[in-house]
Amino acid sequence: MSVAIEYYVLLSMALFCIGLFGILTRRNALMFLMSVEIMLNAANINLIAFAFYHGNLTGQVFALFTMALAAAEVAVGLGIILVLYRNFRDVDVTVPTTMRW
Amino acid sequence: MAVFELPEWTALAPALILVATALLLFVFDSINPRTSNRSLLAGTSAIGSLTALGVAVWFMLAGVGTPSVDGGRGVVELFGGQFIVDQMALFFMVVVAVVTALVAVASYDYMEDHAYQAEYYSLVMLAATGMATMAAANSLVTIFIALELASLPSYALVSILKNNRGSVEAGLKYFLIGALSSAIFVYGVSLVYGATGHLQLDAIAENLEGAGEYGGLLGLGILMMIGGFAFKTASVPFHFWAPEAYEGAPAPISAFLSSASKAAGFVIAFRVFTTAFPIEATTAVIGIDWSLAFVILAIVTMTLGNFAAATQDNVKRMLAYSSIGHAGYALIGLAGLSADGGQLVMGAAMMHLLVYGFMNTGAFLFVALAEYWGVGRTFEDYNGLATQAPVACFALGIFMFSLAGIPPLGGFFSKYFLFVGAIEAGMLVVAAALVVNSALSLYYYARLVKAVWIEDPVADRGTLSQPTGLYAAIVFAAVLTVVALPVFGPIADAALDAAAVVIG
Amino acid sequence: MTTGPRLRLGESLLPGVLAVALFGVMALVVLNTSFTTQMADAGYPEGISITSEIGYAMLDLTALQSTEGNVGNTEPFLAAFILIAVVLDAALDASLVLAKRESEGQPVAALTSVSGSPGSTDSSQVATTDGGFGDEAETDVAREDASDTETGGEDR
Repeated sequence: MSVAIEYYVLLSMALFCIGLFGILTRRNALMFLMSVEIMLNAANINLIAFAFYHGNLTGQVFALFTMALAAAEVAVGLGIILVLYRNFRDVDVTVPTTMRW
Repeated sequence: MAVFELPEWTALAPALILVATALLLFVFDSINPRTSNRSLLAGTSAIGSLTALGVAVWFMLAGVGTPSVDGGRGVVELFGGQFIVDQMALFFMVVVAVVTALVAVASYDYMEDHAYQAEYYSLVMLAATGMATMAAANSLVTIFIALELASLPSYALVSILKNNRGSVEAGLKYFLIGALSSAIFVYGVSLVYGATGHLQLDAIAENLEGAGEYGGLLGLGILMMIGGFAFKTASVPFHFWAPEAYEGAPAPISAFLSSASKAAGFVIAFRVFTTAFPIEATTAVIGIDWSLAFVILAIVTMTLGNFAAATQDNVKRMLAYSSIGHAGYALIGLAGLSADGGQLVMGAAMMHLLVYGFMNTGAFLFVALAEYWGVGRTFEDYNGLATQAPVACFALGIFMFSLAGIPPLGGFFSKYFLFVGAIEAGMLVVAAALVVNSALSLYYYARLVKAVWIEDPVADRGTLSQPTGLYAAIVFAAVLTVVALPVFGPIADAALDAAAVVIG
Repeated sequence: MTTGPRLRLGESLLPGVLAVALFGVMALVVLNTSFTTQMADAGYPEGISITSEIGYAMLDLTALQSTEGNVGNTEPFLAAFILIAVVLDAALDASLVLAKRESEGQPVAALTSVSGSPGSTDSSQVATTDGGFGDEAETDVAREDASDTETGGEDR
């Protein structure tokens, strides 16, 4: 007995929206980064569930690539946050206001 | 043209040359990590991108990517359809290679005294590789990875002035919006995969009919993918990073992002929406014509960009908002696809992106020159520069009037084609918005020319040096903007043919 | 010190309503979609190794791929595999540039066993080009030095 596809999609949508919620409400750059990771993983759940649903492996392989890209993105993101901290003594995304939004 | 036949994979040569240049720069860097031999590094990058440019132009002339019925060598599909080299791919590789060459030459002076010379140039070349592969990517997988390859080095390049608060802030904002939009994009991809079961663009189009019951998922996925394109092209609703990132970044990088990166964003949008989501089939599934979304986005983007640009005092920020406005013009190319004149509108958008690549890069490089001199950032600070640097200021005049679309210059013709195309496609509102916005843009472009040529300087600046690299790049960009005029016929033909291949 | 992640309640959560609303819309879309098959009917045929099939797909070894069920429809990924190698190069390059520290305008090697600051070059050389915020750059260099003493540097 297996779980119907709807529940996987609902789970991934819930994760996606939790990530979005974090981005909209949190001000710490690291929390922001984690929220983006949650959103990327939501996409992975979708890809893998749909790969099983369609019976081909395209989604599974793409999910592997997404993970690698997420790691690469975090590496660059942490670099920027490091430089941010050295310049502003803070990782709050609302602190840098040299230019107005 | 070619005496002997090259193997098929060489069709990707422009992108391969760019990545080879980046790896060569890595080698230089590892042999001498603290090298300050700027001529070697900048020269290697410039030669690499010019070679890529030459190869791309040669391929276009030799008929690579032209369908065999038109006497060409046929569209080249590589890696089982993961990459496709057609005329549109080559056209945009040309745009990317030209802008990269200009940026590499200009950075020779601008990045003087910077601690990370080799890293800087290798990041530029890697980003250029990403943009060139975006032009050829034919599957949502390669599109997404190429998009990241273009984005990741760009984040670092924007914040490469690590002790400069403006640069770091710009990098942070660019990264945050970029990471968010790529998460949204990949979620959109996953939904499209769920609806069709495929990621290759042709396979998606073939499976659209069977996706009837998943209309909602597909519509949501397409909407989210539009978000990803909007970020890369700096259009509404993900446009607000652009003024910050362009203002804080080193000016050559602003030029690179606002020209090459934008063009690359448009090429994937063009390819995805023409190949994977043909209008009739997609409308049948999701119930709405997606070109409507682009009609709205085009009008909102160009209006917002131009009105915001008109109120700026800071020159770099004005150019950033004007770049948003130009993204709105190019979006007409997607908005007009539903009608019969689709080929004309999309070809016009491609012409506009090419000409825009010259004139906008030139304008940002002038800002780079002004920053190199240290004259300041506002319109007043630029007052009377023409008496001290007539050549550069003459070039600036060309860029500004071309951006505004004054008749004898290249920018006029591409806008004219966009206008005619919009009329022919029956989008009178869009055509009207284009005219109104162009008229408005003349106001703030002319304001900069007036400040430079007519106003008297507010303060004495002393003598201004003439950095060779920056001057060469600016003059070259000006020449290209003017030369685009006599050769506009062939450019237009190439763009229209390329559009016809993709749509047909 | 840095501000740790702190949970803020109250008005700062207001924008989050957007996310909740979005979830509502998305859930409606899914619930109105009629998925035809139960997952038990789809899925992979018995007796094939998913892991090796993924490997074959990644390296375009179509000859080895199973053709049972829909597994044969898996797309080739070699191009993506090569491309992601370049992406990881780029990410490494980018993050190293950002994370390195400078002392007196020269980058300090990320991994060094020598204590003390290497490279005693001309201290007037500033590691930044004027991007329009030049006056602030100098104070930032001073702050940077202060942070070196505070954290003890990374040479230890």
